[in-house]
Amino acid sequence: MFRLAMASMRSRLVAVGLVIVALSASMALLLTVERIQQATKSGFNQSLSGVDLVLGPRGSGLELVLYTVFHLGKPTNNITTATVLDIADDPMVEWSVPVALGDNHRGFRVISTTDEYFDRIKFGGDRPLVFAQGTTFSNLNEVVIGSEVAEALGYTLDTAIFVTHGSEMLGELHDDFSFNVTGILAPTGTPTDRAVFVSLEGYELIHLGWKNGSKAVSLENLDIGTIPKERLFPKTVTAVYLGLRSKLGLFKFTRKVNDYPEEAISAVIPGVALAELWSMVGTVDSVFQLLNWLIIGISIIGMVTMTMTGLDGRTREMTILRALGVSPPRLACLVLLETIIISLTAVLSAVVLVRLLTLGISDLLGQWAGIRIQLTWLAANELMTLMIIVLTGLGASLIPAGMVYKRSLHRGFAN
Amino acid sequence: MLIFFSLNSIVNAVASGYKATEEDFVRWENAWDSLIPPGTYDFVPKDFHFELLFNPTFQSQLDEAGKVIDPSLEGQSVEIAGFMVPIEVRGEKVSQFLLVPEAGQCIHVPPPPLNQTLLVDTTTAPTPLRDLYQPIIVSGRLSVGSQSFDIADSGYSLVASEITTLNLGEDMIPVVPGADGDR
Repeated sequence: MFRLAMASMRSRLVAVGLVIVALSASMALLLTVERIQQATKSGFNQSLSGVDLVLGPRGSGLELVLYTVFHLGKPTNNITTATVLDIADDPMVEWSVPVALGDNHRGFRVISTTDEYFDRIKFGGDRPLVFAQGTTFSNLNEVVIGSEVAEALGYTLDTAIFVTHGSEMLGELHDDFSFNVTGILAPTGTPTDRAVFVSLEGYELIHLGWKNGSKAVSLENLDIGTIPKERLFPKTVTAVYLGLRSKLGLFKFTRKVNDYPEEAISAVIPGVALAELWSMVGTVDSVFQLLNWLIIGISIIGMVTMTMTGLDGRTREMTILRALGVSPPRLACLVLLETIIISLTAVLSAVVLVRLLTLGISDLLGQWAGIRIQLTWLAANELMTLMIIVLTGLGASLIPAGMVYKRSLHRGFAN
Repeated sequence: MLIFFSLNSIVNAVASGYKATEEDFVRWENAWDSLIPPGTYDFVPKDFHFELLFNPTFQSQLDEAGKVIDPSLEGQSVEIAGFMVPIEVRGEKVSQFLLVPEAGQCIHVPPPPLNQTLLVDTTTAPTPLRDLYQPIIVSGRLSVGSQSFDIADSGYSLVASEITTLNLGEDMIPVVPGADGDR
């Protein structure tokens, strides 16, 4: 039976081939889009961990989380370090890590912070940041870079770099002061891999000689050993990551921050900001899902159409088979078997296609948001989805199978 | 055949959830009320003049009343419905969250008092991240402990044994009798 079906299909190879391509492409589309959605959500959700609140200038909490944690968008305001120190003194605060953003190094964000960043900021649930090489910065002219920065630009320990002012690659270079790489972080699959870390004081230093956004005084001949570090403590920073002593105090503390009289600041719980993000994109997700299923429906219709119209051209084939003693039910099964072969071939090629597509898209995603997604062959629920599609196709091909059955009952040897 | 597809998408899209009854709502409301020790709000007079609302002493009394917790609830099993405020998210699952009686409180509305907040721990069995406005039912054992060095901030925590999504159908959304217009 199987060989019969294969031989029959081989004679109609072009049509069958096209149907397989359409079916497998639509299945691949469905699975890939679903994977990307899930992986993106997962990737975002586990980029930051261990931080109870992100405190920044008053405004959208979601925006704050997006530009501090994910380097998406630009900060528009700063908060004063006087306020930061005052908040850090609050008995409910266990630790605080300020961050200042604004510069970039060849497209990678420069984050100026304290070295406590590497102890406090975790990812992926509770995994700490680990140094693959070297250690944290201690002098003014030292930087720590993420794994992707090192890989993409070929940096090793002791490489000297300059940073550019602003968040675009095209900007004025702080070329009067070079930084040494003292540490390279191990890969995390989060935006940290694409970041360059400097000390608050080092960042402040390179902006000292600047007026109105461009260099007025050069630091080239400055002996940095002569500068006391305390003088370089910045007056403003972009945001602060906070850890509280008790999670139950979160609401009370947030209200305190929002009511802070000295400055317009607000605090956001990272998990809440992300939940807001997902609820916003949720409707778009549903629309994509619907479109995907429609495309699959169209492909299956294509398959059934091909089979049905093909039946007219196969009357001779059917007649010969009847003459050889193949009963009408078996003829109908032949048609169903063809559908199964087509569907399963489409499934196999879809799995391969999905793997290739996710590979390509994950690269793009990594570059855009610094998220790395896991690549797998096939998950259990994906297999179920594919089987539902195969069964639906089978169900749909009962129509042409039924047609074959009826015709071969009535027509007999008529041509 | 397109019926197959509509069925499929419906199956995938429909939020399965527990359908609550009136008794359930009463039970959950009582659960939230039970977290407040009896007599905490006795200082509020039955009929009061509106000036009282502007009285700073009264306001601070209200604040303090919100912090009072009942140590006798230690170890009690409770089933309660509320909204999730995620704190620790791993991938698409939440391993720690705060349960509050009303949605949206974390964003721009005054926060719930300490005795109406539950710190839920789901580290052993992380639960899917839900929308901030999606009600859920949480069952577990209450623990009344000091969560911090500052005794004034001790509160209720719960190790969750079961978390179910609550399906609020259209007819469950309360309508004020006699009100017209859209719900």
